[in-house]
Amino acid sequence: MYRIYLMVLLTLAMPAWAAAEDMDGEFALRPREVSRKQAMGLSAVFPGLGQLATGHRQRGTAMVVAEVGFIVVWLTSHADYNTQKEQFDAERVRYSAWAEGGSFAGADASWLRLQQKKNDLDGSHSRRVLFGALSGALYGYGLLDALLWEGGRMVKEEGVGLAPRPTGLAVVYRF
Amino acid sequence: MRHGQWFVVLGGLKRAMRCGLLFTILGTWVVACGNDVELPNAYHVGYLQQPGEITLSDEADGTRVSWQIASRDNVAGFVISFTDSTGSEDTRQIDDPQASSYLAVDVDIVAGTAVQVWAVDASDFYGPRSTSVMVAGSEEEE
Repeated sequence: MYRIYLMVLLTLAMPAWAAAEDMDGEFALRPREVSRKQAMGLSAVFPGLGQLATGHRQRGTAMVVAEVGFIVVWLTSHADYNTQKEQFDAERVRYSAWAEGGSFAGADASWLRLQQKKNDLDGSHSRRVLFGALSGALYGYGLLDALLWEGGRMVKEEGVGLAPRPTGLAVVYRF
Repeated sequence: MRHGQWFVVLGGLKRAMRCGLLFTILGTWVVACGNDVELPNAYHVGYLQQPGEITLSDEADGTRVSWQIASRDNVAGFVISFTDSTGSEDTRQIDDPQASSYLAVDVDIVAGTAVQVWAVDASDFYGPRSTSVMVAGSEEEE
């Protein structure tokens, strides 16, 4: 998971890093064209990166944030499901054990716990399937969006980014 | 002209793509609501009936506890419980599925003692307890 975050951060930082050049001590901007293949490649790495590279900052940012959110909820729900499945199985064994020498009161209490855990399990299952599919759908949408992009648009060199300087790194605001 | 035609086709694809995404979300939501884990059979519900109409009557040898039960299916016997005011519980078990009363001769039954009855099966599974019936105190005891 941390690798994905690192990859996203590096990929987001790279275009801003490479776009700025140091000419005679002054910053100069070199507009670049992004091909459809490059946009698709970036979208294949992570949804939204292709859109960011082609200048669709709002759409690209929304897709990156949404994809990260979907993946986080998906993985969290999957972990919850596994934990709740273990608890459900353990409670089912306890419920079955009440049949031999147990009592109605104990079996009924165990049954109520089992129903509660079943509801929790269903919720986690629904969330993990839903957000896993949403993550996949957004991934496919990002690829198709990059495929159908008209191409050849100039990258908008605006906003804040990092740029290498002889003395180190500098924060650059482009307008 | 050909370029314009391509533009129209691409625009249609974009709309279809967005519609497809919406249908994917809705379809996924419907599929996601399905259960993949089932509850076991609720064996304890209705397996043994709850005794009712508990009555206490004084006899020469002791106190007789009587009860009624709607069905004697799966019943192998009954347990009669006597709980005094301190919470101490004394139980007696009779292994007769047709029993409907028990004469308590060796139980210290005083005012405030709570009496309950429940059925038991062949595996010693206890059915639901009856409601408690309290032993009334006499005027001399008060």
